[in-house]
Amino acid sequence: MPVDRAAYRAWDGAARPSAGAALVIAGAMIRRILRLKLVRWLLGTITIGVCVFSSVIFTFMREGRANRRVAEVLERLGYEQGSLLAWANRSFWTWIGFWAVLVAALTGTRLIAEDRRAKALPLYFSRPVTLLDYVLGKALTAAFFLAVLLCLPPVLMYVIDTALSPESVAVSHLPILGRSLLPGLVAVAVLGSLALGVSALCEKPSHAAFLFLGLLFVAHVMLPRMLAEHIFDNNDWLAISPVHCAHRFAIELLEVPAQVDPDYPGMRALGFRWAAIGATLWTALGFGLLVSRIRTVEVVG
Amino acid sequence: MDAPAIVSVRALTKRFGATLALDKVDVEIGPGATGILGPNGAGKTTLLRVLLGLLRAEGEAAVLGLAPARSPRQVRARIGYMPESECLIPGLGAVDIVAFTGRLAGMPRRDAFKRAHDVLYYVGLGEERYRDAREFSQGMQQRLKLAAALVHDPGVLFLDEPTNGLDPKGREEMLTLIREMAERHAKHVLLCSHLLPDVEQVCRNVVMLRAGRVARQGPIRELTSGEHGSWLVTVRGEAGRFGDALRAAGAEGNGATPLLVRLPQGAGTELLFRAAREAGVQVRGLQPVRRSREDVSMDAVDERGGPGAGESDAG
Repeated sequence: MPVDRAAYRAWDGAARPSAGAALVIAGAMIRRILRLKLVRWLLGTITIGVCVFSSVIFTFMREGRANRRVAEVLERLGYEQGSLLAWANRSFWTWIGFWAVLVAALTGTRLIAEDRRAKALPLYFSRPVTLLDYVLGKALTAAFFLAVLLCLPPVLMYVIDTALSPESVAVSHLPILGRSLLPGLVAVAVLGSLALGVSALCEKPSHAAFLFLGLLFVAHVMLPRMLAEHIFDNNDWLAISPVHCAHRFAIELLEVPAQVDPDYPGMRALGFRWAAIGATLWTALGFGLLVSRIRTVEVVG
Repeated sequence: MDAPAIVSVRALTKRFGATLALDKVDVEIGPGATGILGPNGAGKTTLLRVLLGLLRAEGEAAVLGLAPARSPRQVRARIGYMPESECLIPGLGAVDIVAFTGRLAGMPRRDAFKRAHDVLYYVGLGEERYRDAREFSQGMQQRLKLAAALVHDPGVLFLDEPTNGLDPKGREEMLTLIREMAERHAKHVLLCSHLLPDVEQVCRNVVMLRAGRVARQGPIRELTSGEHGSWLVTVRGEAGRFGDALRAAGAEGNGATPLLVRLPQGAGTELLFRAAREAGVQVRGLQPVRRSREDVSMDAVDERGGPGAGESDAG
């Protein structure tokens, strides 16, 4: 390992410590996680799948196209032609929940656990980086991957819909795009903050991932059933799960017919209010865990 | 100390629960390279963390005239910190880690990457700069941490046990690089170590910490030379009378010849000659008592019951 003594020169540039430390952290973390093949494969497959799915839907089910019989069948089932984009988004929301949990477990849970395991916190905090920069940087990283999964597909569907539509629908379908994005943003906030909170509790990424999945199992399956069936005897409480907070936003906003969701009768009755309360509480729990733990780790570590 | 202090600490006290990590520490560190010497648990790392604004402590602390507790970002922007722990982000290549730390310090992306390449060559990792840091040996990781501390060209370097885990050749190279930083590139270096030879090789001044207290501070040559007040004196005449005269002047002498004389704090050798004149003896030999490195190291470790004294995670 030859030392090159001439390589060290004074740097005469101007450092701007306040300029976007959170973005710098997020950029580095995103690049690092994108090196994981499984994450690339998951995000790529789902994004390409959504593009193919929506291209097929918008090509063959639109009025006046070759596959009119399929469209008629859908119409009889309650899906109107005019809301084909909303229908595609609702379909997306019926199966994306599991994958969102998986991506959050793969990406968000490792962000702080890895730093703690490598004792890398002094690397950040010995630079002009505040606790807020650090938390924001990590949150942006988790949000990026969840947003690619949950917010990019609705945008792609809207673009494909607009591109393949015989008439101009860019403006008229804009509200549907907005309604499709809101549940995604809620899910990003809830799952991202919970993943980060759990990540701050563990020193091994695998432990953090399993703890996150365990927490979601309890919060999604056990806690709602316990509250609804044994404590309050009211099915509305089934909707308190963190995943269903976002799901309910999607259902309400995209006007899913009641029969689509027979397992959760409390959803429509509860409406936005409980969804918003549930989402806020879970997000606060995640960030609360994160900040309280990091403050301790910063001092002790 | 004529030059303005780089680090100034007054009555600094830090507790971790029942453990007193720093106990009313008063330190004034001037320009150049200074060693913080002490055993594990002496409070070296805690002192650095307080100076970086990572820990809150009672008392006053200032780095380059700025208080870390009030202006932590401004202080950290001027410091390059090499921590003792592994402290590397897994999954990133060496050049990415160094550039990342540069960007955290506020460097533009282009400058950060250019500097990252330069400093990696400087520390001898030029050929390995694209490798994942997890594959590095401990010696290479130490060099990488030094590169990360240097990337934004800070005026002050805090180096916490930089030779840990290095083989003799690597240790020599690391110390040479650090000394060069202080001498050729005019960096102010605070070198924490429990090894006197490391400190001796790089620093002109030393602060010895023991169980959270400052045991001694000053020029390092005074620790190993007689300038700390001990002399071997050979006299012609009555050594006993000379001993009495010394005791009357406040010094300590053992009465035999050559006499081992310990001068009072602040007194010079003129006191010896005055006592000799009064006792009517002739001073024929005057030799500073040179203390071995082991003696000095034991000074830091042993005064309060050995290395375990004050042992904690504060070190």
